[in-house]
Amino acid sequence: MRKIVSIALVMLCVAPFLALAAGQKDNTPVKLEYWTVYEKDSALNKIFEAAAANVKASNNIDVTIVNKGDAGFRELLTASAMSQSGPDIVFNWTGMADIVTGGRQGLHYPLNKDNLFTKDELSNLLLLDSCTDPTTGDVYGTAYGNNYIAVAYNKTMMEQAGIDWKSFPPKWTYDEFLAVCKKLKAAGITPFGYANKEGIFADWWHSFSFPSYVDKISDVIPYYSKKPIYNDVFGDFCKNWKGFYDAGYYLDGGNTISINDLWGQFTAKKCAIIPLFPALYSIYVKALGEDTVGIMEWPSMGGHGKLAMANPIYGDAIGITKWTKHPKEAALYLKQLVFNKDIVTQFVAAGLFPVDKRMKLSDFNMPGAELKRFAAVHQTLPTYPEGHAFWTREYSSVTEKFCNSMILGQITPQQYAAEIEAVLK
Amino acid sequence: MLIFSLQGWSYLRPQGFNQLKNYLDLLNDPHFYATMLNNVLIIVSVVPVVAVISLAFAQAIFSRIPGYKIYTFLFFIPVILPDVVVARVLTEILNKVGPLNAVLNAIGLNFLAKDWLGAPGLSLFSIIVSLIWKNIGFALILFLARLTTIDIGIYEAAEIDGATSTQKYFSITLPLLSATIKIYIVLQVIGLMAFLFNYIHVMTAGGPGYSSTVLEYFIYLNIFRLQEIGRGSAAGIILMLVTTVFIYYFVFRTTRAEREAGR
Repeated sequence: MRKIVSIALVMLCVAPFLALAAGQKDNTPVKLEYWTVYEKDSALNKIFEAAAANVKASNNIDVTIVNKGDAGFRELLTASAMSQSGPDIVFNWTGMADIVTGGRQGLHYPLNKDNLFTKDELSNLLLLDSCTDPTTGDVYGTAYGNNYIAVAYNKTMMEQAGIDWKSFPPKWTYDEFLAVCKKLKAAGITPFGYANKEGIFADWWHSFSFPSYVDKISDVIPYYSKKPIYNDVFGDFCKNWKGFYDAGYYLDGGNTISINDLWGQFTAKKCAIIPLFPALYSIYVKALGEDTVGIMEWPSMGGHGKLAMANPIYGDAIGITKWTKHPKEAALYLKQLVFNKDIVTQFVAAGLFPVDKRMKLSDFNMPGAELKRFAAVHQTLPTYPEGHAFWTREYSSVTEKFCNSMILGQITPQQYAAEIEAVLK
Repeated sequence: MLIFSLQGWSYLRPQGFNQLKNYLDLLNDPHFYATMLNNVLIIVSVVPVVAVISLAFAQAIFSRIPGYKIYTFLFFIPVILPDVVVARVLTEILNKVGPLNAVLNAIGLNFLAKDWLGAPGLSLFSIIVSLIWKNIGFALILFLARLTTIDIGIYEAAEIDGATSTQKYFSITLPLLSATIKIYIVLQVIGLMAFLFNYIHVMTAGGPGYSSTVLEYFIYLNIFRLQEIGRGSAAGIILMLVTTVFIYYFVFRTTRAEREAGR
């Protein structure tokens, strides 16, 4: 009996090594895990799966798409980074500066190292600068589709308020946007849906609108440096932002609603205007019908700076984790997302724009006339991808915590600025 | 965590030992004191209020008032429900456009309809009330369990001596419950120091600002949101020390005092 137990124990100890050796010999696929925030049935998730099927067929790489949900994604990633384990590929929303911050934190494997992406391949990527650490030149990821900051509006509710949405300009000024909100409010319709319990919504508003308040992108640079944050421009911006809340243009009680509850406000017709991202367009259309959902630019917050008329394109990004054992295989998956025309066609059909500079939007079919019209405007306006570069995790954390308080008048813009400065030290 | 708290960090990478800098930074941070104060406010509000209400209900149920079984069940429901569920339900009720304010408006008490979770002065208060509601059931069962083990003969002897109900309660019941009350206080304080995350995260996310942030949530914010691993770890060590000191003082010192008093 004792012998049998001893043999069994030895077998148990040796078995994993034998399995490992056997696995290396045969044609076992390389297994990769990709964490995203999109729902399993979402259009984008299906494209990620299609790309995974491609690398499985062509390179025998198994990519498992894991939906981690929006809430807590970053926290899970932080825990992974600390334990140096977890996914091989990670989604990074509001890519741009955030993916560079992640790279500096040791989250991402530089794409320019070990020939993961060749120089030619990198040079074909739009928004490359935004994923590149300016000090080291390391490229920490890539956008997989050009995203845009916009708002969706309910045409029927506009008509109920006597607003001729057909006469909307290609891109509205803040005054035009305010005039629409005022009419909606007068008609008893809540103009803007928001959900700001965590402050994330206000943080978007801050990071998307603030660059449009100034004339050139260098004007916003001081706001993430160690210089004093508060000045007249910042003060005016905050004043307008608070004024928008005080005028009752936001959904009442929205400050205590979770970000996960935001999208339902628009589809439940509790408000006429709502933030829009490409992945949400199909959800809104599905709920309300294509004829009801209009798309407009994200409004600036009162500024009439030159960048208010720029095109707020940004890109959800994707990166390879620093701890992966298979960076080359992970890079092959990324290349599927940005260079494979079939995959890019699917991204465009979901509302995103191609990242590969060689591909033109006009070569693809956009879903729906409204999105097509909006995309055409995007094609002609200048862009300010750098604008998003001032959105960093350090800045974001404090805006999420305190911009809510500033809007509600619980702290002054000066105190808000002081909180940002304290974190940026 | 102790090692993390003594290291300097560049984002998520340790940069070597930096002595007590994380602790000194923490002690210079006014938000740290604000969160500590929130913990203290929660403890001094929840512990006595829950104790008094639970003792009263436990006595009433022990006296077998009509429907006592239903009351016991109803009070215990919040205890068996997951914290996240309780917090989510309360969030819906207390929302500015939620049913509580709707009822207040409907009955003409508009002046009482407030932004319960969104105003700095009210968010912590709302959490305190929620915690009181949630914790009554646990304390009730604890006290009830002790009450059922008290020898009825003691009460009978007191009645023969002419003791009134009030005298019996304060001279027999409460002294015999004192050990249970002490256990209750220790468990509650530990819970209110280190196990509030679910409520804070779901109901207010610690806001507005830091107005409803407690030390446990402050640790989470620092480590996972601000990625200040050193500061967050230092706060974790302080939380552990504070809780340990309390338990030592409360359990060991009071026990010794009781022994010396020959009780």
